[in-house]
Formats: sequence, C-alpha cells, structure tokens
Amino acid sequence: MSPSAAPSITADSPIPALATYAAIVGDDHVLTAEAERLAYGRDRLPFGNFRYRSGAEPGTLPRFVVCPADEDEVAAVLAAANAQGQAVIPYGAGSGVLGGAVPLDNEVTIDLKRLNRMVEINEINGTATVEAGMNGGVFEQTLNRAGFTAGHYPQSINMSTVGGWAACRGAGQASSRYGKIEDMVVGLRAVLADGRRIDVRPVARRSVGPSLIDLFVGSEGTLGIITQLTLRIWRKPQVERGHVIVFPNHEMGLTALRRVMQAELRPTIVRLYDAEETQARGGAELGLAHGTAMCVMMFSGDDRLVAVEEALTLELCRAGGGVETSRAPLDRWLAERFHSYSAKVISSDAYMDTIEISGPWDRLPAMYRAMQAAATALDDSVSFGAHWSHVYPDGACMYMTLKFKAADDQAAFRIHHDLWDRISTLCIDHGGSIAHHHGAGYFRNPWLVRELGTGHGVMRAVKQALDPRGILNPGKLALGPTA
Amino acid sequence: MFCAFCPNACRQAFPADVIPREYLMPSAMAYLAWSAATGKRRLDDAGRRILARRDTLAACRSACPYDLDVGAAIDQALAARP
Repeated sequence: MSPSAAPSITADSPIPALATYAAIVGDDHVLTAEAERLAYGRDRLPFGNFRYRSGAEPGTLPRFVVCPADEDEVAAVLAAANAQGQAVIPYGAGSGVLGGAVPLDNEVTIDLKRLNRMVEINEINGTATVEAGMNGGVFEQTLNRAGFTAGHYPQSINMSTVGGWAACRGAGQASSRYGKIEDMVVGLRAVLADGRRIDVRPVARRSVGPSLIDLFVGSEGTLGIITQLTLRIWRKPQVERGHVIVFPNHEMGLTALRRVMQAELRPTIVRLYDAEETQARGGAELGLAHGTAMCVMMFSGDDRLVAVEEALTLELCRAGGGVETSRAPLDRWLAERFHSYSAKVISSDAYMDTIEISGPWDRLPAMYRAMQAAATALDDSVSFGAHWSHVYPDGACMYMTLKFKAADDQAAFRIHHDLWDRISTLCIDHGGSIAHHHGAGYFRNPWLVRELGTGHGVMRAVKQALDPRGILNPGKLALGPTA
Repeated sequence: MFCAFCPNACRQAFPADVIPREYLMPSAMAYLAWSAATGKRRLDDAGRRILARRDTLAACRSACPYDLDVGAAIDQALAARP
C-alpha cells in the first residue's frame, strides 16, 4: 500500500488559496498576521510550551487560519483545500497535550469555535446535540440549567471543546460512573477530506457493520472533521457524597479497587494516589505515614442507590486494609479539579510532563515499579508521582507526573525524550496501552506504531481511502508524510 | 508569565463572538507581551493592535482561578521592554 500523497503546497508556495477561503468564510475570518497565527502554533504539549518559552515553535506556524461559521463553510473549506492539496488542521481550543493541533509543515488551521450552538436537548431520549466547537464548560452549564449533566468532566473542561473531547477520545474524572467519551457519543456529523458529509444518526445501538462513530472518535482530525455530536446525558444526581480512604500501600489499594469494580459497583470518582502523591495532596497535612496510599472517592445519584453503592464499596475497602480519614484532601481536589497544574511549572524554568497509560490489574504493580525505577534512574532531579483513576473491572489508568530540572533546553529535551521512551517502551513490554485518554498527537508516534503493529497498517489503509491526498492533519497518529 | 503558559482556564467566561479569536485569549496575549518584553520575539504592528485590545480581557478577570490581572501584567511587561 503506497503512502498517502504529500500535500502539494509547501512553505515556499505562494498563497493563491487565500482568496478562495476568504470568499467562503469572509475576509474577517481569515487570519494572516504572524501575531494572530502565533496563538495556533502550539497546543498544550509540554514540549511545545518549552519551545515557546525559548521563543521558538515545536513545529511551524500555520500558513493562515480560517474560521468557518457552520458546517456548510467547513465543507466548502475542505473541498477547496483538497482540490489544492492544502493540508489542514482542525482546531478546537488547543488543550491537547500531545501536539495533535500543532502545525508541523505550514498547514492551514481551521478554527472550529464559531460552530458553538446547542442544537437540541431531548429530554425524552436523554440526549443532547451540540456543534463541535462549543466550549466544554459552557456545554455542561447549559445542560445543568435544564437539569442535566453530560457526566464528562475532564480537567480541561473549561479549556476544551466538545468536538475536541471526541476527536481525542477523552475521558473525564467521573468516568467510572458515566463512561468515557466513546460511551457517550451516540451520533455525529463529520466532513470528509473532499467536502462530503457523513451523518451517523443518533440511536442507542446499531448492528450494520463496524462502528462508523469509532472511526472519528479518537481520529484526532486525521480522517474527517467532526462538526456536530449527539451525546447521552443524565439527570443531575440527587445527592453526591465523598470519602477519603487510606491504604497501607498502593498495591493494597489497587486490589481493593479491582474488587470494587468487579463487584459491579460504580463509584463516580475514584483516585488512588501513590506514596509521593499522597503526601503532596494532603496526606502530609493529615500526618499520614510515608508509604501509605490515599484514595478519594465520590458517589452520586439517587439517595437510595448511593447509600447501597457507598456501603458496599466502603465494606470492600475496609476488607482490603483501608481506613477512612478526613475529607479535607477530597475537598481540596474538588476545589482545584479544573485548574492547570502545568502552568506554574512551565512559567518557571523547570520542566514537567504527564504520561498516562492503561494496564490490566495483574500488571499494574509491576508496571509502576519498573516505570518509577526507570524514570528516577535517568537523572537525580527527576521526581515521579502516580495515581490510578478511570478504573474498570479489568484494569485501570495509571497517570504519572514527572518533573525535572536541567541546565538548558538541550539537556532537558534529552531527559524528556528518554523519560517518554523508557516509560512507553516499558508499557508496551508489560502489555499495556501507551495512551489511556490523552490521545497520541504526533508526540507518541514511534510508540504508537510499535503498540499497534499490523493494526497501524489498517489505520493507514483507512486513511488512504478517506484522505487520498493526505490533507487532514498529516503526521498525527503517525499517518501522513510528516510522521 | 504564568498566564502565557496557562491553557486558558478562563475560556468559558468569554462571549461566544470573542472565543473564536484564539489570539485574543489571555494566554495568547500574555505570551505576545511576555515574549516581546523578554526579547524572544519581535512585536510588530499587528501584535501591538492585538495588545491594545483590553475589552476581551475583562471576562477573564472574574473567571481566572489564579486571580490574575492579565491586563495589568501585559502593561507591566510592555513597560519593561528594552
């Protein structure tokens, strides 16, 4: 199978296309000044912010930026881009942390935030239809006013778009009750590379071949541009109750959480911290012994259902060595749950990143030991902390926070790359996935290919069929000539 | 400098007609001012016009979880330019 054709427009090409796009969206919605394009040269990839901190870009700036008003304009823009061989990048709010929205070769960025309408809240079906560019926080607030919730609470909820949630196959903090984004999307509309539109009607389930929704949820703009989604929504819970449990160590905590999930219980929020994060997130203030592992939990729903799930879960935690303690760490987490932790570090001269992987229960303890050892062996300044959330009957997400210092960017980038390489390689070797919910962007390309093996060839074949000129976000998910 | 590297935690507070202008987000404006003040990037006429816009920054003042005054920070950064 031959690779997708490279887009024909390069950085040195003149910009005859500008008038084409201005005719579609209007002059005011084509951004050409460097000061305007600078905002689109990064997303929240930490490496990208390190580069911006030194006055450079992780890739390039976009050639220009187009801001279509609706799906018709998105379709017209894509049809024009495809005819010209002009590569494009769909852009929501740029909250991705793996470079999915970063221009790598002077692509044209398509800012989707003018597509920001709530189309319908269907109270009988329990669904909401929304345009892809709507801010996540605004979406949730709009649902709340109608008595509903999406149940999707990523840390980035206020800094992201609903379309971006789906494009990156994200997960929110309440996923153990409400599911991940792929569990919520029941219908969508997307525009293909040549401007044709696909409409997957919203129904609870279908059996008419493989899921077309799943072609686009997680595709990070490489197979089509999502313009509208229909999501399952839920009545706002009657009650919410929280607890903090301390285990003698994180391995006992992991065993307890496995038993909770395998007992078919659905705590709304579950976050088990390792020894380091336990101390940092309130354990020290509570006087918890070093080595102990703190778990914050919340339950929500009908009061009677919460009482049952709460009682059964706490019983299992006690049987697993857990002891309940003050709610203070949970209250602190709730107050800061939608804040950015990285800004403080990146705005100093330090370096940090987060790596989230998923693993089966029987491998997670060994994965933790191996990854912690590999990370801290790399450099004396590396600090390693982890927590487990997004729990399932068969495994969990392990979310690692890494911080380090370096004399300069060159030294830092070497440490940074080696951290990613060691942890990602160990993850694959232990049978996990290198990404639970942050997506892959371009930063994870080498390890994505290794994890998927033949499966990546299948992805390339789908890419070739849907985007033969290779204009859609080339280089992301290791698809396209800039990969 | 903090705001220049924040992912716009205030984003949901902005009016719908402002939101699509990514360069008017506090993080982008703060970065523009900071990078010019520190000599890392050149501030051209388009950049100066962007930084002269303060109407959009009013929304972030009440929504900022870090209680930052981005307008004041930008003024300070530009005044400190070599």
